[in-house]
Amino acid sequence: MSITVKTGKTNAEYFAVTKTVTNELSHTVSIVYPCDILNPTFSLKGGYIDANYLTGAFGRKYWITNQTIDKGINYIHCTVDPWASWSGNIYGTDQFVNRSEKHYNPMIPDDKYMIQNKTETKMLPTSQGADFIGTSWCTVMGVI
Amino acid sequence: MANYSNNYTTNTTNLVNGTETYKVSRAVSAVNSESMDNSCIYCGAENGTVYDYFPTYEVNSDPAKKAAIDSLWTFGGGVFSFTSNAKETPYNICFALVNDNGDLNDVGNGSVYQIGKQIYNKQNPENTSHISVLNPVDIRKVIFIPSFEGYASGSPDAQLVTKDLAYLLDHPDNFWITAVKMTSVMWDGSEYTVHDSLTEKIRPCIVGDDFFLPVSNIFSVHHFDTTFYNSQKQFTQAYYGVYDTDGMPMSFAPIQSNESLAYNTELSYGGMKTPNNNRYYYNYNDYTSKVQLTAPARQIIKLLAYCGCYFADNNYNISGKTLSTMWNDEHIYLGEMNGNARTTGNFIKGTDILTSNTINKGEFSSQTTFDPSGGGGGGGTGDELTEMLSRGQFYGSGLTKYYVDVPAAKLQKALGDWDNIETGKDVLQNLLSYKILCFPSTTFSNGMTDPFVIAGTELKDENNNTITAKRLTSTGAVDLPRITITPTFNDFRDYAPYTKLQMFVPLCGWFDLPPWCMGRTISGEMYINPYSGTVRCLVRADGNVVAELGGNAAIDLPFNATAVGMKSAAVLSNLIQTAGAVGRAIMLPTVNTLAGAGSAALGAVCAMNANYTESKGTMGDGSNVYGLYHVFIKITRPATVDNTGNSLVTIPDQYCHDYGRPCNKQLKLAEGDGYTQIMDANITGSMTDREKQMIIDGFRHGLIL
Repeated sequence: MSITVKTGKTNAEYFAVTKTVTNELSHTVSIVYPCDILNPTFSLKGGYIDANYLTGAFGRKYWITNQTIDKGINYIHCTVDPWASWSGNIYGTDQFVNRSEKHYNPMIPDDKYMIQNKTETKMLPTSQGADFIGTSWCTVMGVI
Repeated sequence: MANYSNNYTTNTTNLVNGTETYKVSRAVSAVNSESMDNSCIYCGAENGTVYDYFPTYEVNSDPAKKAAIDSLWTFGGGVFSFTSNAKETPYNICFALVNDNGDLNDVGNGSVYQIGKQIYNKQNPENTSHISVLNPVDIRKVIFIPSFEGYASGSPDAQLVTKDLAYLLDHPDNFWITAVKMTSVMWDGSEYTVHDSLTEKIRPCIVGDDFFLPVSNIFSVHHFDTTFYNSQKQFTQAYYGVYDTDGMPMSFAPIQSNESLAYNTELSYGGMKTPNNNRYYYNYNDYTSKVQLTAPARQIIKLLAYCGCYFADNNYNISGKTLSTMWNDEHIYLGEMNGNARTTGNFIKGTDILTSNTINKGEFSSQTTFDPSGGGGGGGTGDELTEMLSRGQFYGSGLTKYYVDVPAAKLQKALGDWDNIETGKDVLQNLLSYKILCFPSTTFSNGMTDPFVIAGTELKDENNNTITAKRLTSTGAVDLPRITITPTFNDFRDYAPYTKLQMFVPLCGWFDLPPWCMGRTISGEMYINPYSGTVRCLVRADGNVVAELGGNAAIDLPFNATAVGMKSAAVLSNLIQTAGAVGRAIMLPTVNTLAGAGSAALGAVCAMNANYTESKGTMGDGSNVYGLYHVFIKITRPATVDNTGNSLVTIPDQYCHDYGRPCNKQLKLAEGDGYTQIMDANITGSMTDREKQMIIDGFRHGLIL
């Protein structure tokens, strides 16, 4: 069975939910059976395709994990990118976030952040701690 | 040693009133049958004291001399002088006069000479005399305001009006009372002119053995409206008996201080009912039937003795009569006087003198060997001055007053010679405490200034200027400097356990600031109790109290207030030297006076090393005064640079991207949030179960949104 897919390149991180794909090209490919929709293989007449990402199949997005070329047939092996595929089910949901790049609380101790053992001691400037006593004295006499 | 025999000198002193001078004859020849003791003339006053001004009235029967003295008593006229060659005497005495007949106790009814209380004029109350003490008077000042009224015999209840004629002169020892002739108003409102009014210029304590009251054409004389005012609580309360006209003893309450004393005491005209130009004398009988008793009549004597300065011979005779010795007269009181001819406020009953072992009864001015400053004499056991002073006592404790900013040097000067203190007491017994505080006096005084007084005596420095000291009535307060603790990292590293805050407050020591003080302004107030030096300090962070600290700001200077017998100069000198040494020890480099030490050098000393090992807690009385005078905030925190000098203040962005930072919030996931870690993501959708798990696992790792 033939389907039309798009291949392209993405520089996004593996764990990125949103991936920008460039150099997209459409292809009509055949599904190689038996087909695991999470790890499908597509065949295409032709040679190597300069791409690492494939979209348009089974409503999902896939990493192109490998290409096997034999007798003029390019077998494209893919693995599903679940968070990109289902970004719509991720964005907009309310979640209790443990760590965040943007929305963190700096006052919560971060045990991941390693602090060196060395400490330093600092006195606030003496200009702030100015003498407020001792500049002049007085005598006090108690007299009956 | 003075030899008073045939000693006659004349000293003319211009009185305030102008040309009047006074003099007294002390020559034996000028005295009619007066023994050459001069005791009745004046006290052992020496030139230059108040008693120089005391006139004596050694009148005599010599017409010429009598006339001369008579003229003294003419209103506005008279010249007399006074001299004093007597040695100092520890005693002063006021005693009754006797007339030429030597009659002492002869009183009679009817026309008597009476010192009565002030009688208000019911008809014209506004004409009632009022005596105002214009200035504070010391113990030696008594306003003696006699006014002599004449009234018809038998109408002792006439309500007479006197004039307010008493006034104090500038010289504290020199005041002049005048009575004038006046018009009397009867109680029924009718007026009548007094037959005559005695006008006299009377000095305080005009007691002498012969007191000449010139009267003329007066049928009887009442001596009204004599009031003593004594503004000092200086005298010992005395009890004594007074005889009424019937010779019955009466008892009286002790004299109250600081009140005007209305009294009634008869000016008895011994044996003569009709006044004439003879001598009259003050007797000490209370004529209660005439006027309302308001105060013991003895108060006259007491007060006269108080400011008077006479000493009595052990016997004197007038007109050939030897009178009973004053020493043995229970109605006579001797007032103590110190070596400077100043009364101590203590009184000794005449009859006690004889039995006293501490009063030199054996020497009198009549004796050529008399020397009251010396020891010996009949009954004296030693130096009279010392003896007298040793028996002195304070007038009363009252409330302790505290004064701030008593210049030590001036105090030393003023107290250096304790004999100048009029009470004759060891002034150290007046001192309750002596401290120096490391605060300016303005901290406590609020601008108040009271004269500095010890034992009722305003102290003066070497320039005779009053030692100005501010009376302490309240505690003091100073504000701590405001210090804002600025965060370094602006994150969890600014707080415990990563960062530690400590604060040093002068006089109180170190204490830990709670972590939440980070980023806040530290302020506070220090309250100082000037009496004890106790310091309580409230430390605040953004106005909220963080800590309450205690300390002490005073250095107690050791002195022994019971060092009786020690010269206060010596003790105080040591005291001040100690204080000075202490002050120097505290305030570097050098301090010459206790007050006003500069802190410039101290500031240099106070630059605190960051590695200063703090002392804990307060260190007891005043010892924190030896500490530092800056407020310090000490911050111990993670290093802000690494071993290569790179700043560690800010957590790198890459770290945030790779690992995120603690969030712990419920968020609506949005594109662009970046690294997001969710330990238990709640994912729904039509994805396969395995995809769901992959998403969940991805969030556990952290997904980039």
